[in-house]
Amino acid sequence: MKDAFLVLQHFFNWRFFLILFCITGFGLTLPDRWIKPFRSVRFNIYLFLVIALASSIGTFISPDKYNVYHTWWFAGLLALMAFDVIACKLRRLPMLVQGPTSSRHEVESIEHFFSQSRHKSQVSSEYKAEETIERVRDWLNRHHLSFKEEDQKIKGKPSLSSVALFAARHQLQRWGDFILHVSIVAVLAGNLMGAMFGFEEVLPIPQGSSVRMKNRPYDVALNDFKIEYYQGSGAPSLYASDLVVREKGQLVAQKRIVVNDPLDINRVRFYQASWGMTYDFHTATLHVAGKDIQLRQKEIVRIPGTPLSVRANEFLPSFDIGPDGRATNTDFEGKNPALQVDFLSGGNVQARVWLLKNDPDTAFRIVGDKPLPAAPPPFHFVDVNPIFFSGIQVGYDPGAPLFWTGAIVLLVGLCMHFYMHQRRLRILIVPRGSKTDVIIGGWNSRTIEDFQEEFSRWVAEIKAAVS
Amino acid sequence: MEKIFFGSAFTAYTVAMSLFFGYALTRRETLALTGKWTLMGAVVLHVVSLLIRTAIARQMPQHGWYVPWSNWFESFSFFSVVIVAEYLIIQRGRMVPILGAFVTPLAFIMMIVAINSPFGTQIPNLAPALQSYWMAIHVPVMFIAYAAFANAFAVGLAYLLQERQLKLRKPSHVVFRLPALDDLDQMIYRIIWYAFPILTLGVLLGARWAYDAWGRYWGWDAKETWAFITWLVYLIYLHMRLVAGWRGRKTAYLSLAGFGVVIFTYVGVNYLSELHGFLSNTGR
Repeated sequence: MKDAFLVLQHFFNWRFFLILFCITGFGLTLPDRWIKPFRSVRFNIYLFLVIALASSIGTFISPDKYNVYHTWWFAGLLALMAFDVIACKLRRLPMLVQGPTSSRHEVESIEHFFSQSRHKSQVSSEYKAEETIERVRDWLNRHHLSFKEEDQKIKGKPSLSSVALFAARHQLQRWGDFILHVSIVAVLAGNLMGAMFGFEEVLPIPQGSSVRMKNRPYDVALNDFKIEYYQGSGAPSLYASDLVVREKGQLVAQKRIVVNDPLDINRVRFYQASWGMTYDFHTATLHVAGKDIQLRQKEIVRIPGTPLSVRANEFLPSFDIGPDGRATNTDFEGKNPALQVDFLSGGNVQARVWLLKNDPDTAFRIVGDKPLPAAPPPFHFVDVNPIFFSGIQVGYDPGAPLFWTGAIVLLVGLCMHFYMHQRRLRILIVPRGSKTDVIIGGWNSRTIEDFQEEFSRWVAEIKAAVS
Repeated sequence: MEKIFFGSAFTAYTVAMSLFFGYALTRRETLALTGKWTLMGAVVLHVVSLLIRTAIARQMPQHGWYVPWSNWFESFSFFSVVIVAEYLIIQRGRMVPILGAFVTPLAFIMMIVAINSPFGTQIPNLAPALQSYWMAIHVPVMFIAYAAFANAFAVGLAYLLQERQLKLRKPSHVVFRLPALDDLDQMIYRIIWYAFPILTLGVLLGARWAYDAWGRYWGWDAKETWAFITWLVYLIYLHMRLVAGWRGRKTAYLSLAGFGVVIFTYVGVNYLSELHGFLSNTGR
């Protein structure tokens, strides 16, 4: 209910409404001769081909360089697809409603049916026309084939007393094609709505901190972040973030989110997307002068038995030296942990070095602002207890309910169209002297061979019924 | 135990393939019949091996539940059994055992790829993103669709071979066994007919999973995009057949191209996609 309201609210936003109105309006009202080229199958096949090619190109280009899917021309291709569906299918709705026995459309005429029919047979009845009709009706009733007498005029009717009957099974199938095509418009509209009114933002929140969202007045706090690993391997088994969301100090929601289980506040959804180590840490352990000493960040600690003190300034999870010669960080996963340490004497910095955890014999001494390789240090960076951050992705998509509705309707339409098996029979009863000709035409929605057996059986039964 | 059953299944696939090849060359009906029964036996053995594997995995403390299509090895192994199972369903009631000679090599190749998995054949630890019940729903639906397209590919190959040989007027043994071109054409059509809604369902279920795991139902991730391209290719096929009435060689080629795209979506994309890759274990 709330979702429906949300969709409606955005539906009547003038920009969205205008786009949809134009596409639908043009599709429905443009004169036939303008629409004709768009209705050709060839055009649609080329359109699908172009969309497929454009999509595939997008997977080989980094989206940071050029995001194919967010360009106006790609959106235009999808809009063209929606326009085509409306021009091809929605325009034909009246014909669909009137049904296959309506006389208004050439393609539904009896002549057309018999000329296109892939199943045809003729049997001759020994009875007069009236009796034959009765017997054929009886047969149709026994097979639970709903039928009706054609109300359309038969061109070149052989005789005034000839009658045409129409019968069908699984008639609902004829709606499948319409439903599945129109649902594509709903799917695309839902997508457009999401793109126009939704948002996505990533909040990297350090443990114990809080971050203000850009798109909502929410303060999102990360109380705790946890990674668990499978025993005996470095493969992570769990990422979990304890989130607290507040608005002006008031608690809005609180949840421990894990991958595949987001927090949802009025369709604003919070996901566990990534994680990493910040440049800060709780404690670091150094091995100096034969002892392990623990340091908090920026804390000055005396090295036992010496006049020197030590201070750890900063931590880089993945240390590297950039092209400009300065120390840089390449990622946040802790691949090459490095600690920047000052050695002090009487409050003055004597030396500033980078120590590497994975490579205890390498150190970089900082001269000016550039680290230079130094002699193997007599002290080692043993361990660090870093402050993690959790990458919380926040997404809001008001078009999602429309998308899901379209998706479900699409599946229903597909099942109707592909899995129901519509069979139509047209039976012409034409008096010929004291006897009667019964001309039977059949059409089915699947391949010819799906109906062949049944059709011949039906013909045999009708033949038996009238002789 | 699992290894024994898996090994026997692999052997049975190989034997069935050889029998079908033998049938193609010698036209001995008994070979085809034996091939069919061997193939059925292979499916049973393979399914048992998958069940044993699942049971073993479930006893491991780190797995609450488990589905036997969680890594490279398992997914290719599962793919081959679905291909063969669907072949057995498709050929039911049709006297066209020669198609076995086209389908069994596919299953055989998939098994070889499974055994030579670059990530080993042991039971994997599941990355957090894969710990979801959608794993048990989305993945098999995709495999059912993909395996159907694999069968359509095999029939498409048979069609093109048949056509070529008829044109050359040098029919070989295989051709005598093959059904008429029209029947093969209809067969491809029917397979794609049944599989297309399943493919759509699979992609939409994937979208539903992505909605929970990554925060959006569609993000043009490489795997998603290529699944969409696969969908478009078969959409083109259906429009060609259904509306335009094209048939024969053109559409047979399209069934080959379609399966090419399927394979790229299934394997090739893993080197493009960050989220769907077998390699991505970092959760990013």
